[in-house]
Amino acid sequence: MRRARAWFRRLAGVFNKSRRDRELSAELESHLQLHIDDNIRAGMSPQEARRRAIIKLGGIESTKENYRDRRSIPIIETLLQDIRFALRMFRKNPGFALAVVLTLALGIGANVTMFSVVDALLFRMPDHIRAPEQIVNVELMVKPEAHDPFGSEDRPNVAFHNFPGYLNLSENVRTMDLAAETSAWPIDFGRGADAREISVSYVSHTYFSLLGVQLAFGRSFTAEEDNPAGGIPVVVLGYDFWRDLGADAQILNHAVWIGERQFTVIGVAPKGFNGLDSARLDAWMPVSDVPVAAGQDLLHSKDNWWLDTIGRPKKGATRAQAESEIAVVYAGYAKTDNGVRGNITMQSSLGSKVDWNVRLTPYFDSRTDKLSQGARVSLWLSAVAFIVLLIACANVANLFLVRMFQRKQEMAIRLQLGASRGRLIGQTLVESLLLSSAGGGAALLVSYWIRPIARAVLFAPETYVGSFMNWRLIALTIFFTAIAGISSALIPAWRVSRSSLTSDLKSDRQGRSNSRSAARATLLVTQVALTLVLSIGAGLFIESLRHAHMFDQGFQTDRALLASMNLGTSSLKTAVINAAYNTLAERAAHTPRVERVALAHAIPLMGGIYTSVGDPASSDSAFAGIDQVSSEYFAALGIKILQGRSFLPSDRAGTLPVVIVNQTLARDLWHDENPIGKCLALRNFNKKECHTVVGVVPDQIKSLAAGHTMSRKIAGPAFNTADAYFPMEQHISKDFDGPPDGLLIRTFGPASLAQHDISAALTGLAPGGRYVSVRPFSEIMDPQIRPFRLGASMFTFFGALALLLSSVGIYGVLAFLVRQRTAEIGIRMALGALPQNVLKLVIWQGMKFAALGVVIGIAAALSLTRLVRSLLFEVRPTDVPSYMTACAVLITVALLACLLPAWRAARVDPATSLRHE
Amino acid sequence: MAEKPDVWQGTLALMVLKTIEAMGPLHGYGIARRIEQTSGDLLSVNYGTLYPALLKLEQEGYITSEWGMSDNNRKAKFYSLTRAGRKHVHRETHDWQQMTNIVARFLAPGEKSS
Repeated sequence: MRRARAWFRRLAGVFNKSRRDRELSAELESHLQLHIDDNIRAGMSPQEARRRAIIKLGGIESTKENYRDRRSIPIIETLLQDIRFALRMFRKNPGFALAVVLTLALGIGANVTMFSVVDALLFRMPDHIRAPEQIVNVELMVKPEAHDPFGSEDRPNVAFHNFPGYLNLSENVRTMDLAAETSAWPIDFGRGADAREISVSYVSHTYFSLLGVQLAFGRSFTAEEDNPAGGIPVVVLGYDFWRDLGADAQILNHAVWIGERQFTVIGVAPKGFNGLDSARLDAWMPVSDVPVAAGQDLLHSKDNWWLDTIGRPKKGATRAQAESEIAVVYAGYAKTDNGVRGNITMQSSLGSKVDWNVRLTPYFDSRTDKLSQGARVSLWLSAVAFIVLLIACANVANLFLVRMFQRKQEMAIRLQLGASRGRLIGQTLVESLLLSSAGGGAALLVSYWIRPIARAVLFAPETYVGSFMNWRLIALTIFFTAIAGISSALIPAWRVSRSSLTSDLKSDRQGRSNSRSAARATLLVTQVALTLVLSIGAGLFIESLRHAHMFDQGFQTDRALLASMNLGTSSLKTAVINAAYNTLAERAAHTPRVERVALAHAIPLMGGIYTSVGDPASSDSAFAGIDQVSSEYFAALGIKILQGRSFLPSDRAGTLPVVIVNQTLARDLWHDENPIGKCLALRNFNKKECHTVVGVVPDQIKSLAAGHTMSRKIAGPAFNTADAYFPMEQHISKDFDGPPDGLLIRTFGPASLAQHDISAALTGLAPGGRYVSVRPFSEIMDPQIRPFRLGASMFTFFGALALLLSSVGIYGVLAFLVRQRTAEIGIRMALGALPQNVLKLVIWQGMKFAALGVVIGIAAALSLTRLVRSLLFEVRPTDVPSYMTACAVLITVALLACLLPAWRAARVDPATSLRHE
Repeated sequence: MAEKPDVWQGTLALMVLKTIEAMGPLHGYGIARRIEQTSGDLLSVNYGTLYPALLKLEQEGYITSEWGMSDNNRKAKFYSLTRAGRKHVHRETHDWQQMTNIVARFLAPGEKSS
């Protein structure tokens, strides 16, 4: 107790140092006076009295020191002293401090930003969900068959559930709570001028309670409302969507149009809740209210697989127990369904039996398997950001080295006066940590400002990204700051510990010790090498992006728009929908800037129908996409007719059935023969009808990114399918009757400019005021291009940053070296060297580092870029032009950085420099 | 004297407290002088060592200090005992006496206990 009290007094003693010092001096002074008085009274002379008193008191300084040590806490005192000293030094030399803080702010800031991105993508659990680590995904694994173009033999597909299967599970499984959900589906909302497209999810009534989500207000569905036999249409709105609608607090019990029906709003989700994934969801509806197109029976049919099932093990049950129970229940279900014993086998959508298996995987761990392209690129970028931090630290270490050299006399004197080396190293560390803390603080600020930009570039616009500040971020900032501070101080500290007093005391500023130069040279060369690696990476990604942009889709995307109405689930008759699309086509054709319009059943890049086709004269078959298009289709999309002709208005019902094929289909069926005039028939529908081939068109690319991981049988980066096009007027089979899916519009000039006008022209023309969506194809393509654009822009940004840091580093070191060699240069010039020679000398010295760095950098890049091959689009990791460009850029930058010090060196006046010490 | 520093500090503190208890409020010089006298000049105190000890006692709350005037009208800092200090002195004195009694038994010529 007493000791605690004493300790607190000592802590307080840290703070009023000067007052206490004065008091002690006064007390000692008074002590001496009293003693002197006594001595005088005892008969001594004043001088003798004083002398004896002083002797008796003992060493005043050592008394004062002991007193001081007692009075406060020496370690803290030392620290405060060091801090005050460091601050004074920074004030005297603001350029140095500023350079270090800026460099570190950039390096640490880059890492903090990348971390917050990766954190949002990978680590952050969605808000509002209770104990998210317990939630599991009930996965049905299926081994695909040999000719399934969408899977491979060794990687099983994960299939959706069907509704009767889910019901069976929810009734019979005892160890888990279960809920069904769909991923985000787009659907129309509202009528008339305010109609828009929103993103919704259909969920079972157990969904919200399983997740443990507290709604902002209102309630979620009851079992009665989620009744397949005819539930009540209700909807829970997302918070942001509710805000978009006006944040009406009285919105409960209002009815809204969603799709083809009206739903009553019964609740609003809490802010930030978007289901289990990160994409924004606008509304949730009962799964039994799922919109059904004619002929589909999603709720009762066992052949429609469209649901995800999630679960949470009940208290006391383990995941393993739940998994075995589910397997048993599912086996029982399969048995009653197909009467097959033994393995669970069911019908696949391709018509044959496949092997199935059930397993439970934690929903939020499996995120790492489902890493999107964007997430993978973000992880790479984090590594890149770390490299930038290393470069920044190398810069700072060099700056510190230079400064140490300038202060070596001061250091030597302090050592002479009795400071321990430990103390000096401590002081260096304090300086460096102060600077890096300032850098870290600035980095947080910088990162806060950059974050919206990073978000816009990296994430799809609809992704919800949580708040910026969280303890993980702050902890990481502190971590990086500490790394930066300590690593930057290491070399100078080591230098201090090895300094030799006598040589340092000499006012000679031109000594050069090998170890010092070696450290400096190594740092510089490393910087250059790292920068080169980053620049090469940037070059590769930029090239990749260029290829992605330029990639021939098989049709011109920059002048194409798609207008569509989401009528697949409406009860409108086909005739009505046809008429509606014709109205849209008519109106669009008369809108300014529109060149052509065409209708189509299958829209490029948006899926299609595939079936078996072949020449009736042979037994060959091919699996082809079927599209029914109006006669303007190819012109509207800018597709060249390679052979034969396009459709004419004369290709109508009643005339010769015709077809246009793409190159892949022509090659598959007729190899090298001329396909014009040959017959094509649908193997599974209307088998005998011969459609005459009248034209051949190039292949349309279905998907950029998907092509990467596609079946290895298909060479190349994109997925080429065989396609056959039929005129819309000609009826191929009653199974393909139906309205078109969209209106294709070709504009004069860029599509995005005309978007607004076309949208305004078409709004309200849909039956009942339904929503008409008008989108340029560039917008539809964007999610596929985004990962490549992302890689390019971020690598470029980091590459530029690294270049900046390295050039500053090179400049700094060279400037210092020049100053160091000023006298030598003066001598050379006095002896007759020309300015050009001096110039060459200095530049050569600088470029030596750059050259070595380039060589090492190329070697490193060759081995490292192999790792990002999967992220590049049609670019080899050893793409020579990228390497050469990067080297050229780096060498140019290094040269420029050498110029200024070289020029200064050449202007040295021999007379003054020789006097210069 | 071949004493360890902490024992020395402990005894010094006790001597200071006892001195103040006996003499009343006293300044640093006076305390030092008095200790020398009491010990019969067997102790040669380096007066400077007193001040850190006084500081420690003050931090622990056994004494307080106040500037005042000495007999010769010199300004000096006077130290006086607090209540806690008084209690501490009595306790320490008692402990010391107990310890010296025990040690004395060991050092005395062997007496058979009867």
